[in-house]
Amino acid sequence: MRLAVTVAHLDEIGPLTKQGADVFVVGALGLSHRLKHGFDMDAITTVIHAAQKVNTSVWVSLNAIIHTVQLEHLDTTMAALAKTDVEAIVFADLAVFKAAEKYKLIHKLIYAPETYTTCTEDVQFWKNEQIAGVIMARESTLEDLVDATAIIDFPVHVVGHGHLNMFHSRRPLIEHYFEHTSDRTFADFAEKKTLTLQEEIRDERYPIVQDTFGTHVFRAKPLASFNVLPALARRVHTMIIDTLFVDQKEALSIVLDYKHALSGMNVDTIKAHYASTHDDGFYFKKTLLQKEVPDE
Amino acid sequence: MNKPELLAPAGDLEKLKIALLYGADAVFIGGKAFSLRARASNFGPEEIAAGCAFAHSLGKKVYVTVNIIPKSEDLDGLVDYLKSLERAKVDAVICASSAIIDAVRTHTTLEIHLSTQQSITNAPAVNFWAERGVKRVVLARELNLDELAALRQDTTADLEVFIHGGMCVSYSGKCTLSNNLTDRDANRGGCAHSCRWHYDLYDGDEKLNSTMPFSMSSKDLQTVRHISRLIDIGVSSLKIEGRMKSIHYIATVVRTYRRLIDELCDDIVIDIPQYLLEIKKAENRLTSHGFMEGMTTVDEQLYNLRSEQPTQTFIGMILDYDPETMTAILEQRNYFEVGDMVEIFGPRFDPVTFIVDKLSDDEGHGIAVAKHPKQRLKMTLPMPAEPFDMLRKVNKQ
Repeated sequence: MRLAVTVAHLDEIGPLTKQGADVFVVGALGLSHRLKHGFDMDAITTVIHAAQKVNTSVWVSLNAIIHTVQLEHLDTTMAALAKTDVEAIVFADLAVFKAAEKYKLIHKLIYAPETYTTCTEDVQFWKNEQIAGVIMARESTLEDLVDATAIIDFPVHVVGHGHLNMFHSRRPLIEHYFEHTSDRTFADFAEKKTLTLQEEIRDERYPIVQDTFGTHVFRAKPLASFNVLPALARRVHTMIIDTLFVDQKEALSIVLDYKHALSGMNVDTIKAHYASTHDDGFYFKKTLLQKEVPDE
Repeated sequence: MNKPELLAPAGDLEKLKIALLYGADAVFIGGKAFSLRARASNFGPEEIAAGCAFAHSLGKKVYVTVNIIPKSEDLDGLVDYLKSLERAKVDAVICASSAIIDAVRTHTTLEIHLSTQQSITNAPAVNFWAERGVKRVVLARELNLDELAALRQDTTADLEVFIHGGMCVSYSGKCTLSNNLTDRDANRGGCAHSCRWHYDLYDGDEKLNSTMPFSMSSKDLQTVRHISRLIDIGVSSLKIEGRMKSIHYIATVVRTYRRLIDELCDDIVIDIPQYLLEIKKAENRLTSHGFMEGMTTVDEQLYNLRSEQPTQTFIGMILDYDPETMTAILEQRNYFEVGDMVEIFGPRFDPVTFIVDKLSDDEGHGIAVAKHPKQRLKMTLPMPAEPFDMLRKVNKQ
């Protein structure tokens, strides 16, 4: 299993490679969500060259939900990507598929809709579309992952570490709230990643970020996959480490821990290190289909 | 101009009939499996068949939601279910999952509509699915009128747009608040509406909200003022949300949009305020135009969850009418008394207000109050009525 890491700067490539990263995920400017930085095409090309020099690969994330006004930029970006050696293009919106079709890049696409790739049959659907792979839904249990990878010979990836997104609204909800209460302005918080929500009967705090794409709310605890790493390693092609809420130093440490754990080194110590601050996400959590609740 | 379809929700067979009789061209329903809004899905196989027969007798249509995002174990029985829908002559299925779409295409000839759960926001994405056999796409609610117009230009697929009802605050199908906060899977029927709860907002350890909790909740959608433009754009279907809503809500909302669409298409001058007043009679939450006019503002949000007090209260439905005695048999749905000012309305006529004069139980004994739910009553009416006409109390203003 390879390790992919989201990056924000060119100068992260070298150090992260030394720690064991195999793939770097970079966000395309204006077409990616919830990544630390949006790279323009010149920067993407530079990153690809830098990665190649150290025998690593680059995935470009075009994971945004795309509105009509962005289609021209998407086309330009895809045309430019066709001239690079990018290993893969991560997408969520099917407009990206259509653009890739135009520039003969379907074979480089990795479908990452966050919630729609939930079963073996979905994986088969996308294999039939002849793309490069899928990233399984965030809410996949370990059992779901085993099922999805058992039958079909097709690359399946997971986001295995980091604060996972659980809500994305097009609405600028923090800004609306401050306007309604009139006691603060959003401008004071625009660049911050320190805002959290706490529901009135729960103890957890959920990071909330508002950007030009709307409002994003994240799970309370970041996910860590050390408890399931052997199972993932047998089945998953690439595991992605999301670094949105960690700095470069922490990212280096995380990558090294996974590299060590994958080779069987210091596994118990590493697990203990993350035990109180991270959780297993949905690996062992079955969600219910339905439950009776009163109408509002 | 092409008149769009008016598509209404129906949580059970009674609501299906009401929706169609009050002017919907089609209804969407959920079976007991494979459908979101699990509590709103009361159609077993017999009910689906009966609903289709009723709709088709009126020249109208039934679509069945098969719109969960399934795990592999959820797909047991899917093909048999889809074939049963085909036998019942369902007019289309509404799907959100590539796995389910594949099953429909492989095993049936059912028409496929793509659910809003896929959050389709642009023409290329519409075309992706159209090229794979999807006939119609229910578009994301995050689109404004200009975006809809632009999208319409670049696809030949049928487009369906929500015009009324509750809105997801998140892009539909992308939200797992419920999964994370309650272990209930929003994409498999278990959404707990966690977006409507109250939250405190912190910056680090500093609590930023004082008197007013942070809220993500949105007002319901209402687009009376925008139907004209939607018709001009060429949207194929105008969709009302609300399979869990009451028959009164469905009747009022459907009837209002029915008349509006018909009058617009007949070039009749429209009295928008009158339509707004009429539709308000069924509102139980504040409404706004959502994204129709562009990015939402604070005015599209809901911060106190206080229900709008409706101006009317649904009190009964006509079951039968005797023109000789001008007496209706009705089924009580809320408390009312002799002396109350009430309004009768139906699919074919404007509301008529009158004072409840005589009321009796179904054995003819005079009564002063109607207090038993679903009690059968007899009431003298000032005008003829038909089954499924409804009565509502006019609250004192």
